[in-house]
Amino acid sequence: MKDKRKDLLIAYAFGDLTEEEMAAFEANDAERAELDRLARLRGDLKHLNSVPECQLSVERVRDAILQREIRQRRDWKPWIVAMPAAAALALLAFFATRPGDAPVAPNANPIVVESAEQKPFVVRSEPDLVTSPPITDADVVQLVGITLSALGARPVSTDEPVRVASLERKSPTVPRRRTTPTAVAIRSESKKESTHDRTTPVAAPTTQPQPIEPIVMISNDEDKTTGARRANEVETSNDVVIGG
Amino acid sequence: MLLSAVSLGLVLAGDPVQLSPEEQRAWDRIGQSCVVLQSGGFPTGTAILLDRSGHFMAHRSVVLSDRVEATLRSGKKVSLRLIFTDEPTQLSLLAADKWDEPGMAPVTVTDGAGLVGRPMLAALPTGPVRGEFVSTDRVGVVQPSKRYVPLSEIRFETPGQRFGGAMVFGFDGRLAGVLSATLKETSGEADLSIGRPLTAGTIDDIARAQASRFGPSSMTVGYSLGPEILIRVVEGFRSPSQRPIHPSIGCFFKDILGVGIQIEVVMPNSPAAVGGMQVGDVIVKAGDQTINTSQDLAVFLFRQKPGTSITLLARRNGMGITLPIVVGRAD
Repeated sequence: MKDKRKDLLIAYAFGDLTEEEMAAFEANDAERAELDRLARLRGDLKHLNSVPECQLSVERVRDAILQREIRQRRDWKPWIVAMPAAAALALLAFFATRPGDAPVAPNANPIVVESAEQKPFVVRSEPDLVTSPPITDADVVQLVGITLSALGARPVSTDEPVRVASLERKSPTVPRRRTTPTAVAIRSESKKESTHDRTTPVAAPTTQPQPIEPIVMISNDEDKTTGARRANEVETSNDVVIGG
Repeated sequence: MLLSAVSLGLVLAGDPVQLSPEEQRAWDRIGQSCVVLQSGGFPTGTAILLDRSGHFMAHRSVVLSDRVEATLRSGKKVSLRLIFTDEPTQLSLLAADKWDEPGMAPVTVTDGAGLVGRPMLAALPTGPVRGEFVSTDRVGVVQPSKRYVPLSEIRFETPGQRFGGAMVFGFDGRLAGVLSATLKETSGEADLSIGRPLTAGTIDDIARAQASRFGPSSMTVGYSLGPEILIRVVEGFRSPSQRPIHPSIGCFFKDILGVGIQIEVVMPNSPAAVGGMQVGDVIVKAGDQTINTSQDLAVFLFRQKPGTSITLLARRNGMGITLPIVVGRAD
């Protein structure tokens, strides 16, 4: 039931509803309240543009863990090789500098092989959100289930680029694009705001996944009913051979 | 003969579909360049007048033989012969044996600007079908040639008859596409004419069903040839050679996840082979344009003119190489 409601919200936001569905949707008090809530949320998000975003994200934690793991794996092998090598070198130096039958005394100074220091992952303190309501990414995802861009929200300014990939809306499988005035209005508003108000890019354009239109594959078979060729759409261009 | 007269009457005299005044005006404009093709006395589709010399264009699927009969708006019949079919688009050029019809006007082709979200009319032998343009920049790949074709996506009210190859017009009367394929037939009643012999009663049934089924509940998603390629074909048919020219460098490529756009096949002695392209090359740039997907490369190559020189930047064995290629033409 909740998923269905989310689907309706998404379809409404993207203009995928018919006029009748849209009217029925807007006539529902609960849905209208939810829409008002989203509108307020969108307004709240606008106030966040000057506040640095929390730097802690799933991606950063994951990257930090991976980096530590890679360094550890890289470092333990030289350690094992360096230990006996250093010991042999010390013994050689000992015998070379102290010839004779003097007893070999145990080395009072332990041999230390330094390894790369593991820099701890430092999480920056969360900024004091005095002027803004405490809205987290998780709240947005849970409440809305769609991207910030779909709501028309622009990216918040940060002092370091942080990807918010977890907020990206999954590509819907059911709704197909249908250009309606509502959808056009949402898209154009989103585009306009992001153009005028952006202060710092959230992520480099090359790192953002670009939406790719499905490819229309036209087969050689004729549809007996329509008399036209059969077509199907493939969501990804991977493994689609094209001649040129 | 009787059948022809009946179908002709449906198309030209008494339109069974309740059209709005705007739609009726558009349909009247379309009628100035549109004729109904017939084969063996049965209507098979529509064709459009390309020039004042009596050359017509129709989709190959509605041209059932090398010589077909066409019925004009005035009721006059002319005989058309098939001259040439453009393989990538399946559009056929036909010519009238004798042509002297000053009342008919050659069609003009829209450039596609402002079509999205606009209504359209598809011309069928029994009358118009309404719809709207959803997109004019869809990427199509035609099998088995695997050739890239720019498409327009159209949603239209499902007619009660075959409509493949229908000419698609904007309300300004300009040609905007030729219906090539359909995604899905949403109406379970659309096979009204399938398997039934066409008689005067059958055609009347189709017309009534078509009129009663207009509405948003029965929509079909179709793909028509986009304006870009349509203009190319029409200009080619109107040229002295009467042949559209499609650029080609003679290679096949595809996206490979984590690798890029990789060359799969290089045709022997093709411009690509002459330019040094090899299987396994990964194309990263074409001219000044960065290539991120195979669609990018397909569109780039589609928009080149034969005889022009292009430079592709490729990656081969970890090294960057440039491939100077002279664009050829697909035959």
